[in-house]
Amino acid sequence: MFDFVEPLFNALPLVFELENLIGMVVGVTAGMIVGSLPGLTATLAIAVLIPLTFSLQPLVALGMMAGIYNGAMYGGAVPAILLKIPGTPPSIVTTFDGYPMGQQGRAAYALKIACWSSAIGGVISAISLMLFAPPLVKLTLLFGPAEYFWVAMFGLSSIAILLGKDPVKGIIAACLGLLFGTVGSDVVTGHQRLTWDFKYLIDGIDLLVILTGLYAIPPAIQMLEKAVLKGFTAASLKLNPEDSILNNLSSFIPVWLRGGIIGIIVGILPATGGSMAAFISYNETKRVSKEPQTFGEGNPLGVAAAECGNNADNAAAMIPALVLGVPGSGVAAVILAGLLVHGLQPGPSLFRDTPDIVYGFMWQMFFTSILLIAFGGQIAIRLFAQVMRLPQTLLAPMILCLTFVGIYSLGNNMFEVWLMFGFGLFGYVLNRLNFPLAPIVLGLILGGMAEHNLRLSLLLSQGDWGSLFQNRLSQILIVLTLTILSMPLLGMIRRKIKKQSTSER
Amino acid sequence: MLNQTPSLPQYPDKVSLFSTLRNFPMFSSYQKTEIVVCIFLLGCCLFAFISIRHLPTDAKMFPNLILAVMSLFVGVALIRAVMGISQKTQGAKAADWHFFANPKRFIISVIVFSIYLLSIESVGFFTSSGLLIICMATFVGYRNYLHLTLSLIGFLAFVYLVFILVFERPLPKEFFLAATDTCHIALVRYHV
Repeated sequence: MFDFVEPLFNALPLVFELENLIGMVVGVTAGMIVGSLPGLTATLAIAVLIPLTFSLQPLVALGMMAGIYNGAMYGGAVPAILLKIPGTPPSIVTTFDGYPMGQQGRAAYALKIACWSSAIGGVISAISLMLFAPPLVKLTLLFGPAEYFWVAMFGLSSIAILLGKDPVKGIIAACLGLLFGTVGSDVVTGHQRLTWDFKYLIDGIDLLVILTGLYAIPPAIQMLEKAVLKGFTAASLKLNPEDSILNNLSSFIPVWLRGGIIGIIVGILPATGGSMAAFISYNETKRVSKEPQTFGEGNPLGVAAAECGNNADNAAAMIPALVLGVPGSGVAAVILAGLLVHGLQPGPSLFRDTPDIVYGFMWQMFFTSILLIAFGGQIAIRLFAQVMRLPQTLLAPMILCLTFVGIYSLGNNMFEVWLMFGFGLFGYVLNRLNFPLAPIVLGLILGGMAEHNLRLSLLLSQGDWGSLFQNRLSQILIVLTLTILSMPLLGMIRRKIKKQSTSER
Repeated sequence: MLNQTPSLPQYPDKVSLFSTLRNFPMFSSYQKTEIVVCIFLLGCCLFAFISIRHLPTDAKMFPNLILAVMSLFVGVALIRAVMGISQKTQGAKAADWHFFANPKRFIISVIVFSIYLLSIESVGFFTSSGLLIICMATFVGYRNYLHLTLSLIGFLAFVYLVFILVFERPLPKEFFLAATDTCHIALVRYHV
């Protein structure tokens, strides 16, 4: 049961190697800066970073990604508190009480609460990752090809259905990802599929080309379209010294514990993400509070609940990603892509063959959360406030240049750069029509696994499609997948019944 | 740009095919874009079907499966777009929706970035990146040249330090350095 403890602690010295520490510090700082800039997300930062980490050791690269992930989730609170502009989507909840606190001259205190709450949420989440992922991965040893195929289908359908507003668009996006994944030589027969005799497509489309195109180009173009010529003024970002958290520790501890548990549960569920964790944590804190009317008026507990819930989702979202290859959130999907880029396949083999890396990554999620306290303090906040003065019209072309660096350095060929630009424009169109982008990435990641296991299952059963449905575990996964797929229909029926009963009254 | 929105169709509570057909010329820009994208995706599916039809059954089974599911759902999305159901799920956002926030800036950005990609291998990464940042920022109306210059120098120095010195990424060589190399080679050859 606890045989994971030894490899977990064996990985610890590696995390403290100088280059890994530098990687984490750079990641946290970069994440906080990116998160504090409205319009830039952790996903964008990681998408731009992954191609650049090729020459690095996997653990250093993962440390940077862990730092960016945790840093960006906290960084989003800075503009949310100072300007009522959420830096990242989950920090919308932080604006509810953070901004009123800022208006009352308590911005520094609100930022301090956000920093501590994010760090504590991240630490709780990292501990859950250490405790739950290793035992769960043993369950996957029971899986055969048919089960793996259904796991891929379950992961894809849950991300496709639950992530966006429109499930039909989510499924189309997932199919696009699966289709992009089939481009190139077929591994079994060697036939070229959808390559149209382009030699650069024979090996398939690089995951990073699609990832960078979809996640980095559309926001950069949108920034240029909006053409915000001015950054934020120094006066709007002014901070005053304030209260200490330690004086009010007793009131914060239950909020952090509640937010931490909510964040972990939400994180493990596929496709839910930090926004939902922050909302539920905030609502629960408000519900149990003796003074619910003070929420929304600048209650420090509101900031603590939102930020703790939001960051507690981070490492927990990596539990299904590391165990099954099914990420719990959009950012986790991109980190999963980062793992694959470094040749690390999620599942039992990851824990068996590269324990130092997988357990090292868990420690990195833990330590980067603690680093938030060290680097997210007053001096850093003042530094981010300065970065926020940089106008988006300057940031956008810089992002475009960085996308070029990332993709060109993959193989020194311009074809991939043009392909990335093409995917960027395609992503822009999809973005405008509210197609979720994460299912495309996940389809690309899970496509190979789904096809390989489907064909293997059919091969073992001599072409009998019934073999996909015979096993009890497969049947459970099929029921789960069908439940997810029928959720929009059930919702529609429920709405109709509700509407009918209202009109009858 | 947003103020030029034409009057949008008012959808009845019960969306019927009849009412949709009656409102045919009154599609909103959100619906029109969705319809165009759905038709484009259906075309892509058809093209992909044709492209893989010559493959052995084993190799084309999975792509065919995906294409079948995708065609089905794109068809559903197309019907939803025509009926205005998809727009309804987007709520108020779709009412004043336009494909481009600013078409002029979009086109300029795409053209400038395309020129950047076309010229980067012959001009060099740093020169063309410097020009890209200056051009894009100026085109969209940024006029604080001191701030622009300082940001540009800072960014290029950061890229040089991180990506050239630390990560040792191979980037297109600057044209003046390449010219110096060519001269050097020519001189060596001449001397030989």
